[in-house]
Amino acid sequence: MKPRSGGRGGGRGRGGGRGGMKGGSKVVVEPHRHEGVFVAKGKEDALVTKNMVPGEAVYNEKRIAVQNEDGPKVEYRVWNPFRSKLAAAILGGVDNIWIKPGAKVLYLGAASGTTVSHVSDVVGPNGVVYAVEFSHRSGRDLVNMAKKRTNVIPIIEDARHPAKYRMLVGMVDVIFSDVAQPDQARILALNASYFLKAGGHFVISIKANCIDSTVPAEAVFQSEVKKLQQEQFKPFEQVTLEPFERDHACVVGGYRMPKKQKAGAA
Amino acid sequence: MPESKAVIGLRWEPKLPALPFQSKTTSMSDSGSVSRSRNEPQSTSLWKPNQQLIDGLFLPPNDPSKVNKLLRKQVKDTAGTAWFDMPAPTLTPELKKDLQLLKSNMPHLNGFEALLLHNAKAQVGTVVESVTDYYSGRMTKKEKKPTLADELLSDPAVRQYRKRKVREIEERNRPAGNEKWKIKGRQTFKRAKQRRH
Repeated sequence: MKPRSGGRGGGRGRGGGRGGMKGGSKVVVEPHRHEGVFVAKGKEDALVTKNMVPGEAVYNEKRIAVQNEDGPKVEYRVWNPFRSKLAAAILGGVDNIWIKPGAKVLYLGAASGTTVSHVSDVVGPNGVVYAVEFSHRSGRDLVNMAKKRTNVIPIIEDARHPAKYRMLVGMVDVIFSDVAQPDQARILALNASYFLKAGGHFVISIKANCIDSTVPAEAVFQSEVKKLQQEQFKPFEQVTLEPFERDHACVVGGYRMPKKQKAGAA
Repeated sequence: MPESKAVIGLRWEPKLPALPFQSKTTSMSDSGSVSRSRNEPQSTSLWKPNQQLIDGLFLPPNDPSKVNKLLRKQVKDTAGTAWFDMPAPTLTPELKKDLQLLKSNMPHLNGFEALLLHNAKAQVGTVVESVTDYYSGRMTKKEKKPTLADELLSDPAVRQYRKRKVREIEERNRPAGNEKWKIKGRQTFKRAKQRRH
């Protein structure tokens, strides 16, 4: 046997943590069960979205270039579930995220816009993402990201006061909330009363530690779901984000859902 | 008409009177066209045999269901608007092998899913090399392979496993030798003595 067989030591030595998708490796991109989301299958599998701005990465994520047979190049961006709670929820097996091509989304707690960029990929050129973030520091990154993406509207305001940005936001189909505040149910309800259409949907990520760190996480989730139910929200499902985030849950549901008509009544 | 030249790329051809100087070559072109029409009797979207042309023109059928069928045949298969019209690729043998490899990772595959393989909407892509992970996440020129199957096969871990398995099987299938009768050193010489006498 040769002393250096296959260059294994050299290849695996560095950067072990950052995923195995090395530059130059081949993958097969397939549609995911959720609309607007794709899966890249290779040695490792990864969740990807179709890049609205080909040739640019937002946060140094891996990109996948695909040459169409009779058209331009298409690019996909790898969606890291450790950095995005929405991706973690998708991998956790949530039934429906309601964010799909053409949807209008209000995103509370946008931070630097890493997940927002993927949501903007999913809704595509026909959809809109209103990204609300209070912090100026991370808002700067958000605005820079939104400069290149025409469907993202950055709003640097406090999500507790939707009246301040009511002139910017139209009626939306989905609200995604990732604010990690003790009163996040109230914030969501306030924004929903302003902008969410009747029969619209919400996706909220709940961090148990941020609400009450003295009681077990399950109790916190239950109390939050109770609060949502009092505000005309109808939770459909709850998934834990367990392998990716500790003591987090993602709740998906509807808002002011129309009453189901009985067959006999009509 | 003897001079049906079967122009590829044109659906119709005008019926012009044959020019006199062409008559010399008619026999040759005639035989050529006849053999061609024998070779591809089925009509494609580009080429139709003369019997299907009306006055040398292609007319779409009157029956709306037939028109729909014709239109459906010409639309390229995609994954739909929900996935931004991701086109279905032409299923080359390489791509088919790659897809089969990916499916073989899933033990629950049944015949129906194997059938789905044929109309899979899947594209082969390459991970873009970024300058930031030049040292950490880059493949060397040798490690880069044209297809996914080649890449998986060239994986050193897979290669070691394959080698070990082959060796094990060869070991098992080797016929029993005369190893146990051989004299190796003094002790075995003594033990073999009684057998010799």
